[in-house]
Amino acid sequence: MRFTKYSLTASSIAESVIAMVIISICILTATMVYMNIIDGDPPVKKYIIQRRITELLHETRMNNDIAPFYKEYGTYTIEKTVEDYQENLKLSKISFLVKTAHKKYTYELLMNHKIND
Amino acid sequence: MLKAASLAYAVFIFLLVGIFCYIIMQIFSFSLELNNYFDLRKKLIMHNESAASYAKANFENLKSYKQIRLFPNEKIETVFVKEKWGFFDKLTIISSLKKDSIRQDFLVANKRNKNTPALYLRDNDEDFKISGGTRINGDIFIPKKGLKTITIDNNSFEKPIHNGSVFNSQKVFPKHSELTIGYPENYELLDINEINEHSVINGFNEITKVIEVNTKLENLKLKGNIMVTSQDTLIISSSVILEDVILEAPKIIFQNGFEGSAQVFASKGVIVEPQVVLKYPSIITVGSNHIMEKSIIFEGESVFSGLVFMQGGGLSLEKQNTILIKEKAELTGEVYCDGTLSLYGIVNGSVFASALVHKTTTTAYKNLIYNGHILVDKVPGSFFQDSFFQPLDSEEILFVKKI
Repeated sequence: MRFTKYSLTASSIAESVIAMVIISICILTATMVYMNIIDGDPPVKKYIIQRRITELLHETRMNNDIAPFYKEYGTYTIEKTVEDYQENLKLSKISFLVKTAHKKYTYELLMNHKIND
Repeated sequence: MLKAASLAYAVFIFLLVGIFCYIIMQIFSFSLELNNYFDLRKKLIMHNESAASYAKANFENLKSYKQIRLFPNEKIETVFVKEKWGFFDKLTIISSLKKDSIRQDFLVANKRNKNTPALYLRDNDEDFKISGGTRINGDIFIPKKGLKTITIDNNSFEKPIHNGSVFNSQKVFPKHSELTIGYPENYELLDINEINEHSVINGFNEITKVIEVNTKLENLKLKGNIMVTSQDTLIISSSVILEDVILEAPKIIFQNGFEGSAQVFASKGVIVEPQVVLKYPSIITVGSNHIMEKSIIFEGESVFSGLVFMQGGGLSLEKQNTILIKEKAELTGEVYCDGTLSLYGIVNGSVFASALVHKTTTTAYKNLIYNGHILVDKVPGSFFQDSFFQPLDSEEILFVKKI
């Protein structure tokens, strides 16, 4: 008899059920962790917004542009406001308020008044 | 014999999945931390730019080592530190949040006033003369006797030109307080023989290094927070590279071919040999000394950008304090000479002189510029200025250089 050499003892039903439950929980937990990480706040969008803000800050500085604006960029909006920073100082405080579906960020910047030559 | 132990397998799989989840979470938290770190750095750099604008607007009233918050709804703290670095003010801006901070150092001076004249010549009761290929672009302050065009050496081919307004100067040359080095409180001596790699780069967040040299400095690169001193004549060879360094010696000679930027404080004289390039922002100053003759000489084809300053000792010493700018030498910035200036080269900027002279082998012509150029319109837009001439003092602060 070829198979008598390897005898296979089956687990009890209870043991099998517990094992199946443990494996299911494991797989479920792993899937949840994985999905949470993958589906977290999409970083690409964050970088697009940051890039836009950097551009705007740079433009504002280079051109000494103190005109306020409100712009919509598809999934987010940017509002630029300008106010004087403290009295006596020739400084403007420029704020960029970014609104996405869930979050709000503010970027602030101080800029010297342009001196007319 | 194989035993089908499902529970043991399940526990094993549980462990595997656990390890897998742990690794994923670690990678995620690491990338999050890295992102946060770069975000924070970016934010601090941006904040430092705002702090720099704040410092420009409020420079006189800035208090060193006082923590301030520029934006109340942000938690970033900013500290300003004002010190001297040679002629310039050195401003340090430190923005910090949590345990991270960004530090930037700047050389600061007053911004050049756009109305600065091309020439200010003290009124010494003689007329101001131009001759040969002399060209002056810009307003001039000259003696009451006025401007005269003359021909010498039978050179009638070239016509001297002046474009700009003419004003009367005062009989007293605008006095300037002496430019001093302003030694730092703490410094350490560095033996030149201990420098192994032919280079010393010392950041401004470190303690100032002072190097004492006998006579000649060669085969060395020095950058940053370094002072070089000598008790005798200091010769800077062309194999030396200097940046932002302060030099102090009785007499300093830049040898043919040298390139770099430095602040030079001498008591007897400075010689800038041909092919030397002293880059922006450089300072050459010869301080007050009532006993001996003092001179600053720019040889032909030397290039300089910054401030040249000859401290005087009143009218009686006018003749022994001299600046000579030879043909084909090109200076950009300001030349202040409380003494006698001979100008044959080009000054892209302004000249303030107590007296002018053109010497030939036989004659010395007073108040004459022969073949010299003063072109005030050639100064770059952002250039610093020494504030000594009250009506032209500028209130605007200029960040001359990030160091």
